Amino acid sequence: MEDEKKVILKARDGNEQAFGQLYDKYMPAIYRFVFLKVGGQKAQAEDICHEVFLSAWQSIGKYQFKGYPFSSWLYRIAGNAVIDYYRTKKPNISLELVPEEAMVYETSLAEKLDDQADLRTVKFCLKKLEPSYQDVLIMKFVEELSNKEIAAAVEKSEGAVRVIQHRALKQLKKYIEDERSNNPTIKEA
Amino acid sequence: MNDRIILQLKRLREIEPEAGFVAGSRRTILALKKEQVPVFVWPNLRMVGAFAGLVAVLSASIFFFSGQNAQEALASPEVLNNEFAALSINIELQEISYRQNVNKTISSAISEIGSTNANHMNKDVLNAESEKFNLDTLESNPQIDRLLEQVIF
Repeated sequence: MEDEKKVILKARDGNEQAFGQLYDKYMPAIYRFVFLKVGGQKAQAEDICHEVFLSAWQSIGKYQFKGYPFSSWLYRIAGNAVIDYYRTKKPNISLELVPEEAMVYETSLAEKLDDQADLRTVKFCLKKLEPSYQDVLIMKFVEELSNKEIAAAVEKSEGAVRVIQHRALKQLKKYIEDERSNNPTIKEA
Repeated sequence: MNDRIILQLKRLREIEPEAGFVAGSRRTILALKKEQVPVFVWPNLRMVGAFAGLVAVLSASIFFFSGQNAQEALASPEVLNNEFAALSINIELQEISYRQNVNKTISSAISEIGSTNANHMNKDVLNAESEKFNLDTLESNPQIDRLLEQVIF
């Protein structure tokens, strides 16, 4: 992709091709973020992602360069979309209750992995964390964003992000241990 | 254990959206924006601009002239004099009305004083009262008598 700033400027002027480039680059990451935030519900993740990019496309004319990466802006939109989803839509559905057809992709992915149960446990426990903990862990370890990018996306200081990251990992570890003690068939992480 | 959890989290990166969804959503989003573009095309924009300009000119002229009238009203001695004259006429009318009421009250009081028909002014009544007043029957007060002697003599 050519210099991202130029592409953003073109998209801001209404250039579809330019926005298409941004869409192609960021859609997978935003999808993963939303997918994990909604507990692995594929249909909901797709709906929310569609809304996120539609909203981004319609409001990109107002986007301003403030020293933060474009991805932070998209993560902010996505975070708000997930909040709206939980505020207005269905009650929380446990990953254990997700219909099999919604998990088709997951299952096929898991088959490629060495330890399917372990991965499921991490995903399940990740969902139990409070939203800000989820945000930071997904952005930091799944998407490998820098603390600066995460701070911009969650609208907190870099120091606060480091603290959240530490607490979130600690909490996730506890949930995994609890889950393992309740279900001894799960291997030690 | 943290390292192992982090490793598991990194493996979640392999999650990807379905290609069919990505292509369909992309196409829909860009098409939606396209439909909205005609709102901002030049001929419409020119019409909106012309209308906005007309409204602005009208608003400015109304504001300018109404502002000028107010200033003139404040600055013109003629306007102020007329207003002052009208004010003094009002005061005089109120004063005349007050005086008329006072005159009525005074004349009715005078006519009442001059009238002998009223009981308290009738001479016959007063004489009858004085006849009833018998000085001999009154007890004398030596203190008052002494004081009266001092005053009179």
